[in-house]
Amino acid sequence: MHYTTREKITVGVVYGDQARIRPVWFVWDGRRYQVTSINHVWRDKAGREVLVFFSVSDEANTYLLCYHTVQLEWSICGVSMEG
Amino acid sequence: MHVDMDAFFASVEQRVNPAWRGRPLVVCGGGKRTVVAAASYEARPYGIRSGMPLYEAQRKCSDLLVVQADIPTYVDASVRVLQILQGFTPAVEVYSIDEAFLDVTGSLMLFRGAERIARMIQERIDEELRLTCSIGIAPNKLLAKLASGMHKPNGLQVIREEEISALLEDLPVEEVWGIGPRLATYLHEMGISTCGQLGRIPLGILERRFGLIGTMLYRMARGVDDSSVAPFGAAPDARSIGHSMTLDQDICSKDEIGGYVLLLAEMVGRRLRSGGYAGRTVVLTLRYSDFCTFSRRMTMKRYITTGPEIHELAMRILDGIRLRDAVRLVGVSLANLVKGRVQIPLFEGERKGEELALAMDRVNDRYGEFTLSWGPLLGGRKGRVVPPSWRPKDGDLIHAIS
Repeated sequence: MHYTTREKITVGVVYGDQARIRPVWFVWDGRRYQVTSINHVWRDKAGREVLVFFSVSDEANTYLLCYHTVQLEWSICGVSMEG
Repeated sequence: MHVDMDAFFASVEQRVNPAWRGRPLVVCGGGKRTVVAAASYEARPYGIRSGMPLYEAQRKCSDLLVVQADIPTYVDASVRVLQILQGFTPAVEVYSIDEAFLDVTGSLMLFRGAERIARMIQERIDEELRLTCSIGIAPNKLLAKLASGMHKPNGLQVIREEEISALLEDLPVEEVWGIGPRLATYLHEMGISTCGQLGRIPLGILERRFGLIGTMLYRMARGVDDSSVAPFGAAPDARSIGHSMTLDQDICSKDEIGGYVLLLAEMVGRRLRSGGYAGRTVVLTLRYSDFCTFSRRMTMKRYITTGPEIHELAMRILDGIRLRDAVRLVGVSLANLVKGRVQIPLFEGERKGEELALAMDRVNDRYGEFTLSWGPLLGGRKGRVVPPSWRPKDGDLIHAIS
């Protein structure tokens, strides 16, 4: 089951080498979600702005997070619930 | 060396969503009558293949997961694969979004052999993207492409010079790169079903029957291919630029068809200008509901670059066609191209049209495709597709942030 949204969220991120970033938790609608795996990372462009998408999972579901590199904001774009 | 990503779109989707791994899945376009763009390996035992209409795929597998194509994800993965390949040789020819040819002649000493390079490429792609690819190694591109398809997925096949004739002897002609279903049918009608048989036909007979193609067939049957790897960035100029789309439902009204023609013309114009091209010949392709497909063309004296100009000419072509049936597919392309044209339009109207197009390009470059467009296209489909001629752009090659 898929749920599509576009809401600003707060994300806890670890910066690694070569400017790589790794979300470790995020807060969405007042609830904190712990990221247990990063499934895939890719970039897209909205005009000149580069958007970095992270498909991440917690113990239950998969979430699509987006980092807006110009506004320096995070948003959640979708949730995929198993089953 | 030929590198072919395994079930690329489907595999990327299974990376993005772990719940989809191990399940039969197809990636499709967004239209109601879309076809399968890619099928996961789990879907293939059901007889599901790329190009099959979605309703047919769903009939074959009731549990089939249908995912709408997300082009930016695939483009990003493809660019990352390209960056890995360029770490082994600068001679990388991007053949399509999921295929590339490499000339590794100059890297053999450094990496100690072609097979080792292939293994390292497979390891790097697995490590960085968790995707698999199949690799073919051979003396030329024709045979390398054949080899990469022999052991999929995650395969590695080497064809050595001394193995070529034995391999080709019983190989069905349709398995050779460049021999499509229609050509294969002609050959079958001539009693030729394998490359061995094709190779024994005298060149003169093939040339009389097929013209220039006959010469190519003669060479292909012997595994001969002199084409070189055209490194990314040194690819030859495009000969035509076009887009087509299958409509959500068959339509008879020329006005309605004209709406799609405008969208396609705008997409063609945008690609044309971003590549620095201008063209003189507009080609309109229509497919009737019975799949009968035909093209009509019209050539102008001057070169054009803008969507409205392409649209106007395409509509003149459409006006001259007496539709005998409802239309299910519309295609617009521009041929007779030149690159880097510097010609100031003579008339004010043309100059204003070009200036307007360039101004719209600047807005859309900054804020995204179709931010600024023509009124009739508002709220319509904003097609985002991967044309066969897809190659990464400079902007795609910026350093990944993660």
